[in-house]
Amino acid sequence: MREDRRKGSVGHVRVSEVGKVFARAGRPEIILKDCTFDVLPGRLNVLIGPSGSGKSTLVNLIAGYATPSVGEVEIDGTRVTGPGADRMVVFQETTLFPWMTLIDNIAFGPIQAGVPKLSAHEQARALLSKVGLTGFEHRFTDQVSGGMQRRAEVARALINRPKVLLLDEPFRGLDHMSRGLMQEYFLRLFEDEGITTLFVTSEVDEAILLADRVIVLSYKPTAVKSILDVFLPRPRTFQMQTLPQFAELKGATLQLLYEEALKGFVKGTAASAELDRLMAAQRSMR
Amino acid sequence: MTEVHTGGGRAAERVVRALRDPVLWQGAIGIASFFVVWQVLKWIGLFALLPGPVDVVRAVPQQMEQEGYWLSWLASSRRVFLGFLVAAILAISIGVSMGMSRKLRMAGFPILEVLRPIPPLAWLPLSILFWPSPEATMVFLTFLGAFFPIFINILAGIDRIDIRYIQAARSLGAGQATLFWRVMVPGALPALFTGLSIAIGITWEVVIAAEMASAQLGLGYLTWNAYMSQSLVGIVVGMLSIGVAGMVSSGIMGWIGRNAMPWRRGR
Amino acid sequence: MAVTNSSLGAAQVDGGYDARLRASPDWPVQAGDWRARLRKASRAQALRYALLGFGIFFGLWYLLTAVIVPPRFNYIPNPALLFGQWISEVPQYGISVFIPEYYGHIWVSVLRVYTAFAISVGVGAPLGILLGWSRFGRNTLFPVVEMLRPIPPLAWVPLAVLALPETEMAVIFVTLLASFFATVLNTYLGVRSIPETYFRAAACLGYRRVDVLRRVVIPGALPFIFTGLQIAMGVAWFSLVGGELIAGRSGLGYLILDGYTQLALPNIFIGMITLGVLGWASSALIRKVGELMMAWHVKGQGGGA
Ligand SMILES: Nc1ncnc2c1ncn2[C@@H]1O[C@H](COP(=O)(O)OP(=O)(O)OP(=O)(O)O)[C@@H](O)[C@H]1O
Ligand SMILES: [Mg+2]
Repeated sequence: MREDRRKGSVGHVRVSEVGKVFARAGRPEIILKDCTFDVLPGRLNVLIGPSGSGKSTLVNLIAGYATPSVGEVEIDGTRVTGPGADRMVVFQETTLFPWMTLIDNIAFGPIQAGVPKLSAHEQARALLSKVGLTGFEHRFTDQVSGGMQRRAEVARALINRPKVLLLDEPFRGLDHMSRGLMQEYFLRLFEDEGITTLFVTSEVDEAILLADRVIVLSYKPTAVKSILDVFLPRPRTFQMQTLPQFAELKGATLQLLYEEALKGFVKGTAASAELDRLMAAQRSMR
Repeated sequence: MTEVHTGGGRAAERVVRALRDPVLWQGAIGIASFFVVWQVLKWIGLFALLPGPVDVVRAVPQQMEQEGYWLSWLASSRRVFLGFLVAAILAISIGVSMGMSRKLRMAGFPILEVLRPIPPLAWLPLSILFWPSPEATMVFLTFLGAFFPIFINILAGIDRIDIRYIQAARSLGAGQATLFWRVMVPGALPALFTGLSIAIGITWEVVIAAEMASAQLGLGYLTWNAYMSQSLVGIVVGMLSIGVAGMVSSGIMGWIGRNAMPWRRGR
Repeated sequence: MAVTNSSLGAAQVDGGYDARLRASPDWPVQAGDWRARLRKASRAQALRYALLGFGIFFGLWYLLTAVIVPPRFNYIPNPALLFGQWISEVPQYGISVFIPEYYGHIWVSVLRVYTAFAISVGVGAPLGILLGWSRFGRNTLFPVVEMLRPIPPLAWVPLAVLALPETEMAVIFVTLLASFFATVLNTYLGVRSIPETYFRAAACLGYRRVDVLRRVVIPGALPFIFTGLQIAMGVAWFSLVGGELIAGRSGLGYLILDGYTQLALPNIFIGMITLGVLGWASSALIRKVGELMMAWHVKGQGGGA
């Protein structure tokens, strides 16, 4: 199994012609419209798009927590109809169970799969040391820092050796330094394990540093705007951010995102409303 | 403030610092002025009937030695405990079943919502008639007082469990039983303990009133008896005893809660 | 790139894709269509189950009090008799919707509860704000509040009856105690829940104390205050019954007690149910007022900024 995954033959996600409508106050709101893309096996696929574009919605559809209004999601040729242990999700907010210690959280999946408690704990301990959490096994989740929670959460997903790992802005809200550290940890993990990954982010630097491919979303309605391949060597290091290649890719991605952001801004997103409000407040202060 | 405390010198220093803490001496001022005002009111002659704090303090030992004082503690505590226990068992089982089954909830919840606003003490006369012994009446009333807060809170607790925990557990391969025992139960536990601590407070209120009306023993009866014999000191001592009893029960409840939910200890 | 191509292809058949979206079950449809009907049907289902529940409830009640009657169940009037008495013009025990005395008891109880409630809010809310806002006030008064709070209101009945000149005052005093503490505590928690930064911002803007009170403290604490008021209303009814049972000469609690001493069983039930309805209606009233105030407040802020 493990060898297979390293070679990257498992976990091919195909999102085809997916559309999603939500009802807001009885009115339809089209969030996703005709999204088609592949999450290539064994690669680190990054999904990037402006805030509110429907990235989390896409993740929920792939995870099976929601069903697409139109189109379908397949994994290795099998249609997704609900959540399953072949896909593990790390959300942008922590979903570690607060009533369990870190090690119990991480051993939860294997124990559910029938692994005896002792060896599940052993596996969990090994993985915890891999993400730098040795010594924190018996802390509750609220008793460790946000960065540690994120790492534990990644570990809880990885220990089940899923076909696909889905990460929805896992490092959002961390400060710059811990974010950098988390990215390093994550790169090492990915390069070791080679699990097919879909990593959602709204940060261009993060996207390019991590990715084999960057899937750029358009906005309102959301579809795939473009897919960029990142040919930076692996193992990746932080220093690669200074390479001219990196800058070039960053420029291209930013250009794509800028066009979309502008579209959204004009259409009255949260950001533009915020700006309007600020300006109004300034006027009234005078 | 976070220095390592080793040696007697440090300890003494900490005591001094604690004594200088404004929270402490201002609190002392507050409580002291309360008693002073009370005593002064007494001297002036307002509420002439009321005993002053000095009278009360003097009377405490004698009151505590009176026949049946400690038996009253025992009797009231037993009623509270029994009513509370039955209420907790029933409220938890009904609350959990309704939290898990939509149909059961649709059928049963409206009835309980109709019964809930009737104040527990309004059941007193009927209970005296219906139940064969005063003891059963009082246990039934404490049960009534405790049942609804526990029931409502556990139901709300189940409703409010974050859907993401359930999703995560399902992704991790949890079956129905695991979902229930490892996610729903711990997820609803904080709300359950909120309900339990509200309930324990109410049981004391109810038992006091019930004892005033129909008991031969108990802290409420003690107070009532003092009233009948016009012993104001006795009344005040009874009230204070009841207050202490309520505080001790809440303390025990809080202690159980902290131990049942070790993950919330740091809060 | 293949993917870009496919999205271009989709753009050409855009109308087709929109039609598929519209055909999906997620698409909300206007009123009068099948979805609305389905929703209504599910509400009808809730109603059906509720009726089933009540059916079983009243069925059992009738069965146990009119058909089988196990020992001691003779103290519970059967529902037909009870409601028959309630709406009878010449009730056997003197209380029904046609008898003015019934409304007299209701009026007395309502008056007591609302008087007690008004006093406890009028004194308790300002005290709560003081406790939350002023450190000295908090440090000195809070221990006193915490010292008195554990004594249940009903334990005050004997003392209140002896110390206060009128029984009426004693009943109102007992009724207001619990709601007073509920108001104080929740208002206090509300003020404490306001982030410190708001106070700093107000200080930077040069607000006077009155303005801080009016524009930071009260609006910030309002949701908590209303939670407190709801609790206060609930416990007021709760204590009122105790007070009326033990010391009252009128009111619904007294009606119940009187029903007990005269063995006028239907009156006990009429009193209980009326109390339940009044208590429920009072809470609903407070909730509605709270929602209105809160909505009004949000609107006021939006317009003012
Ligand atoms: N269950 C739902 N019901 C109604 N609208 C929803 C629902 N879920 C998401 N939306 C709406 O869909 C849009 C996209 O949401 P989504 O969370 O997928 O965006 P996102 O790209 O992940 O944003 P962010 O960067 O903030 O995480 C938002 O406008 C959101 O309000
Ligand atoms: Mg998101």
